[in-house]
Amino acid sequence: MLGYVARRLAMAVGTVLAAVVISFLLVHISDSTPGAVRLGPGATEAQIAAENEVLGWNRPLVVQFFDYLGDLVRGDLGTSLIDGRSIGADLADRVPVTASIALFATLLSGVVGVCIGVTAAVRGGRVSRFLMTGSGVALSLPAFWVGVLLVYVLAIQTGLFPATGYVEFATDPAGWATSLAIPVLTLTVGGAAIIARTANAGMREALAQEHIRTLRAMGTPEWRIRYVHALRFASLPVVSVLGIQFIALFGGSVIIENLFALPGLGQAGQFAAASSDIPALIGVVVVATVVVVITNLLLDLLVAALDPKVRTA
Amino acid sequence: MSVLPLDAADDVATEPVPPAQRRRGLPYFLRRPGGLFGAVWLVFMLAASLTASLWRPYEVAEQDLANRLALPSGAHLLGTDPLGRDLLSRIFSAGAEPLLAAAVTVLVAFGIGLPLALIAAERGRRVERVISRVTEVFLALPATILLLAVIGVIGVRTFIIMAILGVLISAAVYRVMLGVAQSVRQRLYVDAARVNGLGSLRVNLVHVLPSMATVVAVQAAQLYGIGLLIVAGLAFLGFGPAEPAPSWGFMIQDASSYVFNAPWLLVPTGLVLALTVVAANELADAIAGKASIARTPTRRKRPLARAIAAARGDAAPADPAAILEVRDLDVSVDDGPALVTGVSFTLRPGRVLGLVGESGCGKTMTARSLMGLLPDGVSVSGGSILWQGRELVALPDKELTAIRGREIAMISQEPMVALDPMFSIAYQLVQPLRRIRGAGKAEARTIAAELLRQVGIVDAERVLKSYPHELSGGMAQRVAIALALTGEPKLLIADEPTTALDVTVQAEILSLLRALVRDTGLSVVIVSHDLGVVADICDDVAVMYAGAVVEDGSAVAVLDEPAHPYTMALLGANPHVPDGEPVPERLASIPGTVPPPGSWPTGCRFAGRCQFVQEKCTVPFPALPAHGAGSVLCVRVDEIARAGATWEADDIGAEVAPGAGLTAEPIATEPAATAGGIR
Amino acid sequence: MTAPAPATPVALGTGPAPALEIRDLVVRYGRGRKARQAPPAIDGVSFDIMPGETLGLVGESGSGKSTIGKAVLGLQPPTAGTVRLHGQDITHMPLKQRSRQVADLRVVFQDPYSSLNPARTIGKTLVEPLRLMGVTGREALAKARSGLESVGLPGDAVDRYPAQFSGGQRQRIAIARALVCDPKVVVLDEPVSALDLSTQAQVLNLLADLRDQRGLAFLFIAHDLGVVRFLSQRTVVLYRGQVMETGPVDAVALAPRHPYTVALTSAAPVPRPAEQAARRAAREALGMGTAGTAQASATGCPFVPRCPLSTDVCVEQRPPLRRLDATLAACHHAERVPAR
Repeated sequence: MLGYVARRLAMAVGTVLAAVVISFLLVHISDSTPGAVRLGPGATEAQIAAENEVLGWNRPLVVQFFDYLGDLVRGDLGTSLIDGRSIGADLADRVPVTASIALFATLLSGVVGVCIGVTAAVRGGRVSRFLMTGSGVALSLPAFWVGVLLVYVLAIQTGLFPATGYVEFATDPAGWATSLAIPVLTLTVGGAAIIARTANAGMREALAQEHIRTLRAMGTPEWRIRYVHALRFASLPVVSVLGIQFIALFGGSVIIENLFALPGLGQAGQFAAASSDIPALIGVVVVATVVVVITNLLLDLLVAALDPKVRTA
Repeated sequence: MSVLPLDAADDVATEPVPPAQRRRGLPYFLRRPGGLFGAVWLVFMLAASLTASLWRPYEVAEQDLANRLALPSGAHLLGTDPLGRDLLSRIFSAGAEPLLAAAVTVLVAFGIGLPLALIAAERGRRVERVISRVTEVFLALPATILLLAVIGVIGVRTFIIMAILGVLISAAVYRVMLGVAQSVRQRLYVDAARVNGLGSLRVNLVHVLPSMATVVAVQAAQLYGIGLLIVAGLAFLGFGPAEPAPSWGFMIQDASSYVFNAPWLLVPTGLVLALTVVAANELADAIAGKASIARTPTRRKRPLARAIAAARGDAAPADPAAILEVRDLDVSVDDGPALVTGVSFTLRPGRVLGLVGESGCGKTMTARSLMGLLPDGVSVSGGSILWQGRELVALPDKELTAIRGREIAMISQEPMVALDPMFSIAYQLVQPLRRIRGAGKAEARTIAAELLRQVGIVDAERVLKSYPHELSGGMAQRVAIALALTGEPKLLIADEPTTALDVTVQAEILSLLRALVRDTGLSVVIVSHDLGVVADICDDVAVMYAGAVVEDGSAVAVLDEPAHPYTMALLGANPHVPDGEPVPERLASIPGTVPPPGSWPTGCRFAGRCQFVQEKCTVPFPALPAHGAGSVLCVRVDEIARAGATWEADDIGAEVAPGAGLTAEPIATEPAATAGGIR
Repeated sequence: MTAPAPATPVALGTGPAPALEIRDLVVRYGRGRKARQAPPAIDGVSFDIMPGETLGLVGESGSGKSTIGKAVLGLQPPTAGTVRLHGQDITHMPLKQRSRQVADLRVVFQDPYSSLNPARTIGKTLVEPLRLMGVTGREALAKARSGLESVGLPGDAVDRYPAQFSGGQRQRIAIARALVCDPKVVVLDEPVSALDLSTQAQVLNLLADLRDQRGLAFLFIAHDLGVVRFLSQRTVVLYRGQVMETGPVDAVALAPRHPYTVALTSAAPVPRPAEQAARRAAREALGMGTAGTAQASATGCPFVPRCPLSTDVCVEQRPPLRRLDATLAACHHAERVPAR
């Protein structure tokens, strides 16, 4: 078990390193330079060259890389080329926004999806057809379209929740919750559909297992067969997919944050990409990778705890 | 979106469809409504988008300022946008880019992922590990944000961006395809081709890839849908074609700012995009051949037999000492052929009855019907099962559940999968002990340990703490027997309990069962194809052929003096001889195979394969008494006995004669043999 | 039955050259520290097969019998030892080269369902090896037809797909595929264990007929000593990758000198209740240990944890194969094994 954790940790560090290397290379093969970005379109060649010299752009790549790594270890992500603010401080404010949306959407997707998938597997027939066809469609809907539809229904028509904007938890917890409601619901539509399909397939596979017949032959009550034994068997793929969901929502938050004007990590990525703010872009990539890697670690541990085959290995 | 929500590949059939089935008419996936819709819609979208410049009623930038934000009308079939531009023209003009760019992602992802998977599956552990580690890193990178970084660096170049996405996603494709490729490579025909000397490339092209085609198609269609969403999503963020060029994503972005006063604007573009993604996913599901709909599992039609038996009610058994009496039992596929017909037998307490025969003869169905545990779509269609004076055929599921485990228990063929892999042995034993015997937690655990010792497990405490995968096959079967004993049943149904075990382990398990019968007075119905097992443990035996009992009686009588030709043949085909007897030069064999249910001949079902067949075998006849209380279902039994005839083995060399493998065994596409062609 | 050939793993005969010669074969799965610590799947196995002879390789699951078959075929590279075919060392010869140079080593696998590619016609499957040997298309097809006829199937089966045949028929096709290039040695990897009893008898008779007709040498891998007795002249009994006993098949089956062989032979049930009762009583009197209880020591005899005769020397020293009556057995206490 200890060796397993150590191996996963090594993988995690390797992944973050890979992310830094890739973004570094990406930046350096392009023809854009930080000097040009900082000074804007009006600057002359000479000004840009001077600015690049100040920013250390002309030093050898390896030196810049290790410089950056050294800063990174100390938690320093550099400053933005556009407004000169500390990237680390900016992202530290943004991560909780994205993380809370992704987390709530994942949890809600899990609850709703498992209910739908299990019901469809257990009931069969017309109920199952309706639920699974519905999930197949929901899974295919673009989130940004669903989001606008939900805004139309929940904000404009009924006025239940605000359409856009973000309220800090510290200033107004209730406002914070309502400001997250539509974004979370939007992400839940597709998320729950994926979980429903996974839970459905897992449940049906579980109910077809030989050991379920053993339980029937022992006169085990049907509810226990379904909701203790089969559900436990189906929980493994569901948990893995939930983890993948969280990662996907976290990394894919950019669209939803754009739509609802939420100050999250994805929005920072979008701004940085649009303005070619290279240090900010690398910072976003690194932070997102760290979150993904941590989630993966937790997920591996959770699966290990759930699956006796991994646990006892 | 950094990791694909691709469905696990292992629920997709990797067997290639034999071309024989493909030839007629549409491919199978186009015969499903979802698949047909998906294919037609995608083809339509592609054709309409690529030719949009030829047929569109307006130019994409043509403004009709008098008709801004118009609802559908004759002039603008789908309405207009805030600048009065025609939505229909813009939607289809915008289609080509996402439809093609998503295809680029798919091609790149599979172009990298598939060959890597094939190489990793072929080259073994070390290569596989290296590739897998690298792809794990790729999988953990946040794809969407990396794409933003790429855009920040190279600008909005959709096709290059989607190709880079393909590179990132190839890691996920590799993961899915690796599993499939590894399982295909385990098929023996791959090994056979390699022994024949087929080169690596050709093994992959001829034998491995075609078997992966279905999974590749499914995953590609799913990935195509994801690609479409990503292209549109990027355009939504402004990373798409610059205005006034249309793009789906930006049109939706545009619509979102007008959602207060012109909600209709949202509908056409969103619907087209959604339908296109739905089409890709539906196509994927149809190719997977996945019935995404579960059949109604529990509520079954109440078969007629139940009503009849219920009307008859409980009765006293004909043999007053019998604990179980089965009379004229029929088991059928609902609205289909019979699987078992007219099976009768009687079991007394403390006796062991063997049901013996080849596969497809209905032994397992008979055994399972005793507990009401037939597979979905199969039910008892006639006869009676009298258990201690109670009619089980008439019993509702609820009352049967009360009997299962407490009065009748079962062990099955595959001990390793008969136990729940997710729970400890202790949990699995304690739970029924508490439910059935009403024991407290600590008491149940003590009883569980005792039970394990009773089935010959020395280190019971260690086994209690372990999980099924930590046990050997023999140990797992002992645990399964202990589990069956938790309810102190009077009857144990053992369905091929030793078939999956090694012969030395089989001997141990049979000794254990024998000891249980001796010590506890348990009755056992054992299903087996092995006459040696029957000789070892059974008091009585019923030989089954094609759904009927052809001979029954005491095991000694039936095995030492077989009366039915089928029993004779089975004994003659068995290469195990007692010490002191020579191994035969030739084994007796029965030409052909057991006819499947639904194509049984009238009269004797064995007639088509029998050495002693005559005209009179083809008309129905009743069973004759034999072996004391037993019976034999053969019209010529007396003639055969008088002549002292035995089942003769073929001459040496007969098996290589042309047609030897075909006797009474037509190739499956031709009509099945009936008794008509008999001498 | 032909007289058992004199060649044994230790006494290298001077008679005719063996068709297949296995010497000190060792197979380890995996690499790295863990793999080196685990006992090898095959641990120093040697045997010969004479032309026209059938050698039965018997063992239970985990004995490594199929691994030996794979090593002979080149599907699993051995860690040490040699495999010679008609005197030629083929141990590390790549599969592609083998099919050109030594076309006379072929295989029939256990599972008739996965051993034929369902998407290819029987004709394509049978022609494949011939084409690789340079036989022209038409000639190859003719050979495929006659190959099918020689295993009792009609020649026009070449146009059909595997799904159209029963398990027994498929196994005939697999045999036809193995024999279509006229090999001299065929590895039969559990060729009948997936078949029903009556079909099993058909295929066993067919194999015997083909062997006698064509003078084939078989390496017959099976878990069932009864089946092995029917087809083989000599047998090798394996346990955990090591040879326990070897010799003429009747001697091994009827007068075993190794406790494991005794356990194996006494456990196989015969379909006669009275005889079986006597055998069972005899077996229970042996006091064999339960299978799969404890790990054997790496230095000693692998059967120690189950053996009623084991002493300290068995734990410390691995017993060599030695001559005892008609067989060779690897047991320190073979003299104390009760006669049957």
